[in-house]
Amino acid sequence: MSSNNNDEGGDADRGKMLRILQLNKMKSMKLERLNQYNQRLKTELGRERVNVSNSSLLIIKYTENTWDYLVPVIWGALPPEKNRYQRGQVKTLRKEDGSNEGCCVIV
Amino acid sequence: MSINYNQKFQSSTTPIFKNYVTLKGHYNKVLSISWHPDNVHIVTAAQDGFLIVWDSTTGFKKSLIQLDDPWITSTDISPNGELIATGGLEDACIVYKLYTEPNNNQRNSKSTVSIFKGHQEYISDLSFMSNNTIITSSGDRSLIHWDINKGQKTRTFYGHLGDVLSVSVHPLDTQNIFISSSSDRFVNVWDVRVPMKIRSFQTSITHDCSSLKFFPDGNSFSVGCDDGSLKLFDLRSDCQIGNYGFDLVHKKFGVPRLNQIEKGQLINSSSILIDDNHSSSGLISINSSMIAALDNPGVLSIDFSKSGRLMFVSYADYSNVVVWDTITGQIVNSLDGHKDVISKVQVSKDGLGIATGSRDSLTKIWSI
Repeated sequence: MSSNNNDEGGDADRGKMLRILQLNKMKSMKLERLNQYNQRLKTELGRERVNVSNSSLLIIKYTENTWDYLVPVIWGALPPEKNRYQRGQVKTLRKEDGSNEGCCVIV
Repeated sequence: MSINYNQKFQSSTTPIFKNYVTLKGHYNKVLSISWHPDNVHIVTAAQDGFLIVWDSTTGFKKSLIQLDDPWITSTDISPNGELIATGGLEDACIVYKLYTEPNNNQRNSKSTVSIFKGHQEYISDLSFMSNNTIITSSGDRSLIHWDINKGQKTRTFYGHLGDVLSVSVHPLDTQNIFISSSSDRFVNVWDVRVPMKIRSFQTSITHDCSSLKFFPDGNSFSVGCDDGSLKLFDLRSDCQIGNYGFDLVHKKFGVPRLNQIEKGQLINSSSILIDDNHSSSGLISINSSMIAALDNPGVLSIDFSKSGRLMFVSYADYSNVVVWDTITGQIVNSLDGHKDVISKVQVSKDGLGIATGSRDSLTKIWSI
């Protein structure tokens, strides 16, 4: 009887130990993940950054120094001779007059 | 943080965009457009299964390619203008030779250069990186870098946890650097020489990021999310530096009616219609999770003007293109004229022409 009792007690202990081991494993995995996350954050922190105000100024500088006729407030109106779409409309008329080359005909 | 900038657009200096040419010829939704590097020709691909090359100044058709895969999602023209790559729902990236002049010998025989198979799911976006390399993004969560000369892939990029929805190549270092946005709400920065992502940005907590575009100087990028929010991130500062709120669009153009879903238009996450007529419109509710997964509200397409001062954005809820001032974060103007949602907006390389391809089967060319 007493030996049986001891066995049962031993089983319970073993189960308890297993549970503790599993819990320990889980906790250490969690710790490992947190450490990795911490490491990632540290490398991110160590990365050299430009201040947001500075990069904003650089963006503004770029928009002011790049030629862009779509922004007439900086670059003035687009001269008509540079506007190929107005020229294109003239070309269309000319093509309708005479030759039909340069275009595949789709009805 | 908001950018304080004095030189705002006054009402007298607001750029006014005129619609110069309307390209008519497709019988179905125009899904993708690309400018030819000569800034004159433009290629449109539509769901009717054809790809048409146009002269954007005259509006004449120059050439025609019958596509192997009518469910096209994206097209791109090589920097030398000789090739056009198409990607679609049939998981293959197909490269054709591009003719900008009608050639009697070639008119009826399309010349396929390469067929790249390797993705497990649909191709959402693609871009040429040089005259013979292509990067494709796919719904199988990967990106693949292809070499046309070798006829095979050179590298697969894993790192996203959701469908990769959009890809944009660095405007200056086109050979190496590109960014991709995904439905895992992250934007990743990649280098062709490195198999892993080199930087990652969380752009939204709740919504997929469906479209993105590099700022012309290559140090910032703009990303649009499914909730209609639009953000500017900077690579130098490693953080978000600008925000272009959807509430401003609502204020300016009115709150959109949710008629896209009532009409039965199912939009998947890469700005293409899956089914237009056959869905039982009466049964679909907004709360249905399938619709929530398929219907993509928010930002469909972004492009910058040449200097980056103006940002052209098309939303799934509006049939016009909203023109943002990148610096002040205000809405400057809009391109009105289409009758349906604009699936793609593209600015030509010289910055003078803006093309909009819409689901009303038209493509319009705008300029100042």
